[in-house]
Amino acid sequence: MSNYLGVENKGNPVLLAKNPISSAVSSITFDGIFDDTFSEYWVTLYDITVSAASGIQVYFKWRNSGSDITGTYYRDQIYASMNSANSGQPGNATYTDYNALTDFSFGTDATREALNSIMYLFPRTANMKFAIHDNLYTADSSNTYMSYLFNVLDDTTKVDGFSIYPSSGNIASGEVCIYGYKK
Amino acid sequence: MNYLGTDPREGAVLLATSTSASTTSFTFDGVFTSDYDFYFMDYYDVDHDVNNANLYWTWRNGGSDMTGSYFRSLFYGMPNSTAFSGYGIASNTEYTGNDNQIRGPEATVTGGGLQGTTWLLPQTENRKLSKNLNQHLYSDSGTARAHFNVMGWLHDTSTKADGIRIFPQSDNISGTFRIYGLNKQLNKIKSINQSDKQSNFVQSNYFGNSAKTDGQGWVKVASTTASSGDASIEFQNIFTSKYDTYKITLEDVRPVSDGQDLEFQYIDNTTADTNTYNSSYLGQGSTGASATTTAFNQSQAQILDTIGTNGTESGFGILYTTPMSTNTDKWLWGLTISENSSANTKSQVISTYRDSTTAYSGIKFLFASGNVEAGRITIYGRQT
Repeated sequence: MSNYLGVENKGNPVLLAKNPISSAVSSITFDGIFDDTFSEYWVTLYDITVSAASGIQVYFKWRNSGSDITGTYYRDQIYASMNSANSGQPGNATYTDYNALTDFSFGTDATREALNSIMYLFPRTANMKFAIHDNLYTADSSNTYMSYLFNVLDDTTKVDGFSIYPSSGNIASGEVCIYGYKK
Repeated sequence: MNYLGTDPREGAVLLATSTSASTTSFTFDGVFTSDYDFYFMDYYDVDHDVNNANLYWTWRNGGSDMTGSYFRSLFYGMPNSTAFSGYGIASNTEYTGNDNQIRGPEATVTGGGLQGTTWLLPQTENRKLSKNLNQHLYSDSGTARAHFNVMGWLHDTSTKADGIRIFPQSDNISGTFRIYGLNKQLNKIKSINQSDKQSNFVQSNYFGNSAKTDGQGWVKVASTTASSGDASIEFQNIFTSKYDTYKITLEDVRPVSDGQDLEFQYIDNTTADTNTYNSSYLGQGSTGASATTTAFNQSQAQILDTIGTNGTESGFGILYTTPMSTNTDKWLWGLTISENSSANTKSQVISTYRDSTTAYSGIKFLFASGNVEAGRITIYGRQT
């Protein structure tokens, strides 16, 4: 570790907040976490599991001043499975008031089923809200997928938070960390 | 911890580095611990001693390889060739099981200098997963073709891995591998003697100096916000031998003239290299357009596609580049997303290279025609 008198380490990314998900919760929400200290944020989802056996998708939505940012969320992605012949590049999908981070049935049916992701976020722009989700996850079918998922919301609000949650039931375990890159 | 001020547990910690001019394998044992969840492995100027060889790696635990079936999936592009273009995007994917190791980049060409980064999850009790984005020269029936690929890797065991071994299909390999851990210890100590008492990192212009570089991860080296009417966003003499891989973040980039592609040129001292760049990209649409694009053999360094000037139209991206490489090809690759002049969004996985032996010291971003209206570009160097 450092042994110094003062000055910043010039290191990036800077860990700003974390939720170790010590017990099952219906959603994980961070409000007031994004401000203009940074403009590029990374969020890591590590070993996220849900309580339901199957049929779950994990959702994402922006928040500001303690409220959800509603509207039409758009999505495109490129995905491929490591252990099955499933792949695709679907675009122009829409969801109302949230975006879906996973496809296929997700739950606890498969052994060692979990979601991992690095999310690259630009929440402080006054232009369209873009987020890039760099995903690795295992579904109920026991198929494991990698994907780049691009999340779009046509809203000019400079947002200060976000929420992730399952389509039903709880998030059972995992860890979420939020990082900022000095601009 | 021995410091006066705020605990600088920021950044990604460089845990191990290994450079060799010729070795049978790069082995890192005991490097993965519960201190971190997300690890990154960078490889720089990695080269095989022989042509047409594959690169492999295997998880390790307790000093031994972790055996069993490994699987991967793949999509890729060819910046200077139409070879394999008939695959189409969806079937650019393949999955394979390899006993006892992952098969990584294939059929590499000597002198090609493989570059890239992988994020790894070795300490989970769930499936061991990793994801890799790399660029290299591929041997296509004896002809060297620039090649980039995205690979997902899977090893289905609950055993935690504490190491990794990277090795060639035959003979030896050279190059540099580095392993970083992404800090997950939240520092709740607030700063002292700085105006912002809430920050859990030490601000610039603090009192004193740091003699250590632990945990620097990505070090900011420059940032520029464009003014409307600028001909380009340019960085001169920004790349040095202190770093070999650089991260470039694009934010809110927009042209003065409607419907312009954002491109880039490397700079040698003060002179932009305006020669031909080759690229390949995989594109998808979101709002209003579901079309996909498989672009091979492009003689243009396109980063953002036909950005508009109305409303919220702008572009973002996270790019990586190796401008100081001693190999021939200078690569720039990454992920971008933008809204175009038709108010449709387009995301891209891109890879571009410039075939030159020059070590470039700078880079400029410019639109295909007209000036820049807005945008901020920040460049970070990867701690070595």
